[in-house]
This record gives sequence, C-alpha cells and structure tokens, in this order.
Amino acid sequence: MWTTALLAALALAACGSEPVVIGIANGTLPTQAAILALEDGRASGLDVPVDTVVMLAANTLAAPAVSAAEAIVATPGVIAVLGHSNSAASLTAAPIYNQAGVVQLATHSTAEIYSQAGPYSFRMVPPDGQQGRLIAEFLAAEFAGRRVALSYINDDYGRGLRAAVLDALPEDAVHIVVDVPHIERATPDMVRRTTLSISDADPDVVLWLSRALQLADYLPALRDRIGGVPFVGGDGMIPVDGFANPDGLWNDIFFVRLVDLDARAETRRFREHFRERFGTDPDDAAALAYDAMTVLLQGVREGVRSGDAMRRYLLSLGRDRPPFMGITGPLSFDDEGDAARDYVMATTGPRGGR
Amino acid sequence: MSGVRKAPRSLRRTVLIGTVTFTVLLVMVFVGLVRVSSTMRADLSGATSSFTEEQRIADRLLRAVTRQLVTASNFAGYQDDALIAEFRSAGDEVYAEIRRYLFRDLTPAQRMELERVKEQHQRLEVTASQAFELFAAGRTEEATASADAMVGHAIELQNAVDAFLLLREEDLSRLSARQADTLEYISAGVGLIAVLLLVGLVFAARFLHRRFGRPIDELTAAAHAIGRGDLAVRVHAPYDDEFAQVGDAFNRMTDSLATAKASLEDRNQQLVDALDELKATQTELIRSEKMSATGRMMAGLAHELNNPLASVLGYGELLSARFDDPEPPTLTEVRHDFVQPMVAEAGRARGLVNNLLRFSRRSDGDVSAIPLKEALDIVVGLREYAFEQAGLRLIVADLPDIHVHADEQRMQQVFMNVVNNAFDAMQPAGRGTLRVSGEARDGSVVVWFEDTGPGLPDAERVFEPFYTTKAVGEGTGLGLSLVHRFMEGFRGSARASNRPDGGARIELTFSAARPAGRDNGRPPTRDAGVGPAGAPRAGARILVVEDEAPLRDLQRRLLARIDAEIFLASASEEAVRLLEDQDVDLVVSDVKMPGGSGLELFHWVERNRPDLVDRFLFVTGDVGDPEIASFAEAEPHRFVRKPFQMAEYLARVSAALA
Repeated sequence: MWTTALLAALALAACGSEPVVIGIANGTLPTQAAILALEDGRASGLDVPVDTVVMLAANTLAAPAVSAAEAIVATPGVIAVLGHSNSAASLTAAPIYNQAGVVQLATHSTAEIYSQAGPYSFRMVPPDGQQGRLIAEFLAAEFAGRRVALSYINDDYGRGLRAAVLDALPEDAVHIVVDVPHIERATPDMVRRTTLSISDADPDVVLWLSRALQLADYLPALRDRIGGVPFVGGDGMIPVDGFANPDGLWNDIFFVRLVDLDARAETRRFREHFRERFGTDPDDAAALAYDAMTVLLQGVREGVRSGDAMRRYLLSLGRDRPPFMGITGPLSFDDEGDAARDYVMATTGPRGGR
Repeated sequence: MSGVRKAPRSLRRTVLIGTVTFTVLLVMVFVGLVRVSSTMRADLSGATSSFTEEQRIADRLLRAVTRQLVTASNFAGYQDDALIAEFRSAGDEVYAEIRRYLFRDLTPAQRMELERVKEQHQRLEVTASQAFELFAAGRTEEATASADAMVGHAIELQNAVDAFLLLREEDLSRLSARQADTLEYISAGVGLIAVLLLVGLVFAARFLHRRFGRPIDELTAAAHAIGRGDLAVRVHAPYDDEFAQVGDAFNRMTDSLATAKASLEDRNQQLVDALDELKATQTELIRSEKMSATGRMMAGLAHELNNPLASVLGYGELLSARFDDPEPPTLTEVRHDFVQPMVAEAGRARGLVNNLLRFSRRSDGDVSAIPLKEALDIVVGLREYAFEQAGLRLIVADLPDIHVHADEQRMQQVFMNVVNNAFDAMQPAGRGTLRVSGEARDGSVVVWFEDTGPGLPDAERVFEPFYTTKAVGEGTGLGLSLVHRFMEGFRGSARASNRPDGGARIELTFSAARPAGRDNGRPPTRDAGVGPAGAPRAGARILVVEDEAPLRDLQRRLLARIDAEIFLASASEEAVRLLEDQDVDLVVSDVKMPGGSGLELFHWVERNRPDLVDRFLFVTGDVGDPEIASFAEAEPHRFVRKPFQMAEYLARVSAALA
C-alpha cells in the first residue's frame, strides 16, 4: 500500500532567511540515509537553513507518486527532490517536477526511459542497459544453453529491463522457455497461473526481472513446484530491509548490486554510521540516497537557491567542477542526467546470507 | 496673461516628455497586446499541435489496444508464436503511447486516469500472457479463466481510456474557452489602444492649439499690428519657455523699433527742416544770382533809363522856355516838336522798366508753354544797350516764333545768364558779337548762343556749380550751373562747346510746346484783358484811390475826358469812408499805399459792397509781389500796369463800366 505521510519538516535554526527545501519521496532506508546526510551536513558546518519535506513512497503505483510529487512541488522554497523509490514511481512523478522546475534526483530508478523524463530529472545510477548487459553476460556465463523461464513485472522497470537483457543476451546463449509478465498486487489466481506457467516450462533458471517484493509473493509456490532452481534478477532483487532467509527459501538468488557496500571504506563507515543512527543496515539505495542528499547539500553550500540553479550545478560536476566525491565514489552526470556507476552481481544464500 | 503666471518651462521638454510618455504608454499597451497575442497564438498553436498530437496518440493507443484485444481474442492461435509476437508488439505500442501521454502536461486527475489505463493494460497483458502460456501447456481451464480475466481487464482498460480521453477533451474545451477569452481580451486591448490613440490625438491637438497655435496667432496679430505701424503692441509672454523667449525678443524688438522709429521721425523731421532750409537757401541763392545779374545790369540800365528821362526833361524845359518866347509855338508845333518826342522817350523808358519788372518777377516753378522769342526779347531788351555801350554786338537772327516747355522767369534767367556770360567774355576785348539763332527740330527747339570771345577753357566743367573763370567778386559761379539745372527742369538740355573759329557756343534744347489758353497761365501782359474800348457811360461815378498826387491828378484828367464824375482818395481808409457815403460805379485803386493796401480795400468791398466787386480795377507798377502776382494771374482784366498809356487806361475803365 502506498503510505503518504509527512514525517518531518526539519528546520535549521531560523536565521531570518527563507530556508531551502529538499523533498524526499522514497522508501524508508533511502529516506533515513538522506536525513542522515542532512544531519552530517549540518554537523560539518552547513550554515544554510535547509528543510526537508519527506513523503514515504515505496511502491510502484501512480497515485501515491503523483500525490507525493504534487505535495512536494507545492511546498514553498523546494528546489529538489530525492526520489522516487522505483522507476515506475519516478517516471510517473517526473513530468510534475519538470513542469515545476524542481530537480528530481532518483536514487535507484534504472528504467531506460527515465533518461527522457526531462531536463530536471537526474538519477544516481546508469540506465538499465548497463545492468541488462551485466545480467545477460551472467546468464551466458553461468547458464549457457540452459532453459530459462522469464518473468518480468509489467511496468516501466520490468519491461525496460527485459528489453535490455534480451537485447544484450547473445543468440542461443540460453533457451527461454516461457516469457510471462506479472504484476504488483497480483491476485492469488494470477500468482497461481504465473507459477503454473513457469513450472510447466520446467526451467533450469528463472530470470526474474522484478522486485524482491513481488518475488516474495511467488517464491513459496515456485519453490514448491520447481525446487531450488536459481533465480537471476536485477537491482530490484536486492533484499529488502529486514530480509531473513531462515528456511533457505531465498537461496541461490542472483541479483545486481548498484553499490557494493563492502568495496570502499567510505561505504563501510557509512554502514556503521547508519547502523548506529537507525539500528539497521542500509541497502544500496540508502548509500545512493546518502550521496544524493550530500551532493544536493553541496550545491546549496555553493549558493544554489533554485531548481534551475541546482540543475546547472549537477550538470557542472565533472565539467566545470570536479566530480563530487561521495561515499559510493566520484559522482557526475551526463547530458541525460544519468550517473555512471559499475554494477556487480551478487547472490543470496550461502554467499550473501541475506 | 493675467493672474499668477506660471514659471515658463521648456516647450521642447514638455513635448518630449509628453511624446515619450504617450509613446511608452502606447508601446507598453502594444507590447502587452503583442505578448498576449503571442501567448494566445502560442496557446492556439500549442493547443492545435497538442490536440493533433494527442489525437494521433489516442488513435495509435486505441488502435494498438484494439490490435491487442483482437489478437488475444483469437484463442485458436494461442500456440502460434506469431500471434503472441503480434500481441507483444501491440502491447509495446500501447505502452509507448501511454508513456508519451505521461510525459505531456497533464492535470493530476488526468495523470491518475492515465495511470489507471496503464495499470489496466498491464493487467490485461499479464492475464493474456498467462492465457497464452497455460493454453500452450494444455491447461485449457486455467487458460480460459485467464482469458476471462483478460476480457474483464480489457473492458476496464477501455473504460479507463475513455475516461482519460474524456478528461483530455474537457481540458481542450477549457483551453478553447480560454482562447476565446483571450480573443476578447485582445479585442478589448485593441479597443483600448484605439481609445488611447484617440484620446492622445485629442489631447495632442488641444495641446498644439493651446501651446503652439495661440502664441503663433498672437505673434502673427502683433506682427500685423506692427506692420500697420502700431508699435505700441506687445505680446504676452506665453507659458512655455520657447515662446516666452520669442515673446520677450519680439517685445524687445518692438521696443527697439519704436525707439528707432521715433529717432527716425526725429531725424526725418530734421532732414525735412534741413531740406526746407536747403530749398530756401537754394531759392535765395538762385534769387541772389538773379539779383546779382540784375544788379550788375542796373548801372547800365540806369544810364539807359537816364537817356529818355533826359530827353523828356529836356523837351519839357525847352517847351516851357518856348512859351516864354515872343512867338510861342503853335499847338501843332507843340505836339509835333515836343509832346510826341516826350511820349516816345517816356514809352522807351516804360518798355525798359517793363522788361526789368518782368525779368524781376519771382518764378512759380510751373512749366508751361512759353513763347520763346518773347522771353528772349525781354533779355535782349535789357542787355542790348549794355552790349552797344561796350562796343559789342547782340544779334538775334533766325529764331523761330514757337512755344516751348519752360517756366518763363527761369527761361529768362537762362537766356540772361548765357548772354551775360558771353558779354563778360567779350567785354575785355571791347569788341565781339553774340549771335543768337535757333531752329525747330522734331519736337524740339534748339537755340545757339555763339560769341566771338576767347572760348571756354574747360567746356566740360562750365555747368558745374561755382566753377568760374572770372575774378573774385565778378560772378557767383552759379550762372551756367543754373542754366543747366533749369534746362533739365524744362526736360531740355544745355551743352557747351568752343566754336572751331574761336569763341564759345552754348546750345540750349527745349521741348516744343503747343500754345495753351488765352494767357497760357502767364501773368498778365500789357495787353491782357484789354478789349476794345467801348463808349463809357456818361456821368459814371468813379472813385480813384491813389497815394501819389500826380498820378491821382493824371487819372482825374484822363477820366474827365469821358465825362465821369470823379471822387479822389489818397488812402484806402479815405476810400472806405467815401464808399460808405457815396454811390460809385467804379473803383480804380492803386495797390501799394501807405496804410491799407488796395487789396485790403478790395476785400472790404467784397464784404461790404459786393455790387462793386466786378467793377474794381487795380493800377499798379508792381506785379512782383506774390499776392498781387497771383491775383493778377487769376483776374488779369482787373489790372492796369503802370506806366500806362491813356488809351489803355480808358479802354480798361470803359470795359469795367460796360
């Protein structure tokens, strides 16, 4: 369900000047990371009053995304928004932000079409073509000639990632035996029929181009019918907060990590810092949200006071300015507002453990 | 201007400010209108483009949805990969069209409706795909259930699309209404501009009239007034600085003009006075020149006059002595040997005096037809004795008897000056001849004065004023210059040259004139008004007023010859008393008398005895007096000139009594 709640309007000490407002429309972990970044920024001497308007919006449905976007752009002084939590929501909200001249910095929206969302739409990750190639290479390498059951979530993310994978997948590298979409909030009948379609194809591997939340709906039935067949997916398969795998149900699931939190000392420190602050581990999106909020605050430090100025500031990184050095590495944006980033494949189960 | 006058300000600045303000206002309104118009045009264009684009999107969307539904409804082909590919292709097209919509400007409601379309489409595709796969797997029942669900989603999708398109249509309708409103605003704006222009023009016209027209009219009226000579006119300094400056300058100019005019009038008066003085001086100078000539003649004339007087005196004494002789002369001898020579000599003297009087008259400056020979005769009569006494000869030959345009007195002076000049030139040699001749040519008469003197040392300068070769005191130097000037006044000319065989030649050219009336306007001559002597009425009562006793007695004796009853008075006062007591038929009066003059007596008669006005004669020897000359010129028949001959006298009396 969509949950719309105004969590906080965090104001700095009023200095008599209008505060800069940054909206946050994201899931819980990215939102916490953004707030942590703001707190860290203030602690490091940010003397510009910055308020945040936070809209928790974690699902892919349009109505909450539109409502959140409308509420954010209606807030006086807002110059940027950090969100949304997925490609579908980000794409739905993008026209509203572009029309209002508010920078939209999506943390982990990877849909190809987001590059065309408008001049004010930026994202912390590259489009799906990159992870599509990575997934295709992984399939070709690990499951060459095997029977692959493809199921994708029938929204912007799933359709785009499916197209990217199929484009990058070498011909005859694998044998796709079924290609069925699924949908968020699927009815039990729909889940059952999808499960039947996949199991009837007797796959060696399931290419699940969807989100972990949806997989959670299907996985028990699928494990019953196809056993320990491995699952391969994109960044949407990153285990959600509170992920647990007590019965090994989630073993052998391969997915794309947007950020390897173990790879850099900065991300490791971030993880510890986050854990200390919120009592839980951050995910990839949280790390990206931390960097996203930090780069926006850096713009504010450098005098940005409007959406257009922020847009120009972000585009200047790596061009007129050096790339922004975040915890996830150097950050800059191309003409479509996409950041460059190296993905890695990860797995749950015995290796990942979560 | 009256009342408190505003400080002048610059008209140029006012016009500039007004023009700029009005222009800025107009430009602002115009720019606003253009912007509104541009916005409207952009809106219209955008709306049209958007409408067209959305129509295309909607068409494609509906077509793709239809394609997908048609494909999905073909259950027989669910195992056909081509059909499935067609279904997916149509689905991709539906997805793309929905995405196109999503990137357009949508209201939140539209966006939500479109999301519903997208969601229903997703569900349609999912159920359709499940049906395909289940049918392929032989799960017909499950496949059919999925297909049924697909149909439900298809209906939902169709409803969602319809609802979305309806919202867009409503939006376009609102846009169209807004365009209509904008058109109304533009029309109102155009109307506002027109009104502004009209009001601006009215104000501009009023402003131009007040600030330009009125001052210019006032300046024009003032200029006309000045042109009429009214230098007291002043213009009121208008409100604007430029016209205030012009007005001040105009008033200063008028002040200067008034001052200059007064100064000019003063100087003009001075010039008039100076001219009058100059004319008087010139007249006096001319008169002096004439008197100088007359004076120089006077000794000769006195000598010439002495001769007849001596004869008269001699004959008188001789006659008186003869009456003492034992044999007194008979009456025939007295008449033949004494009286007739005395009358002849007295007549000679009378002629000389008459010539002198006629020469001595003042000129009135009027040019008329004058008998040339008569004028020359007077001069010759005055100078021939002097020539003879000096051993010189004065010959008048071949002179045409013709009238010329001239003033008689000035023409006499011309001849006199030329004759005197020749006389003076030849006199030192004690011999010489001045030959006067002339001839009539086409419309003119040329008279030559040729002497045998030494000639002219510088013929070109002889007519210059004050040029003279005579010794100091022997001439004024004006004689020949006056000749030149008078001849020009006659529209004639004077030329001087030396004769080839010696001597000087003065050539005078006159314009020939046709003789005018009876006396040509000239003063009365000796014959003027003298008609045939009629038989005087016997017993006529005649009053003779004469201060000179001999002349009074002479007239008594003359009048006794016509049996008149004669009353004598020695002064005009005595004559008045007689006229008051006596009834007379004729008054014969001298002009110049001690006490009242003859003219005063005449004026008394005009007032008190008007019956005698036509029977009043003057006997005078002086017609040089201007008043007498004027009277004599007007009524010459009233005058008997002294010395008179008995016949002339009696004829005039008889005519008056007739």
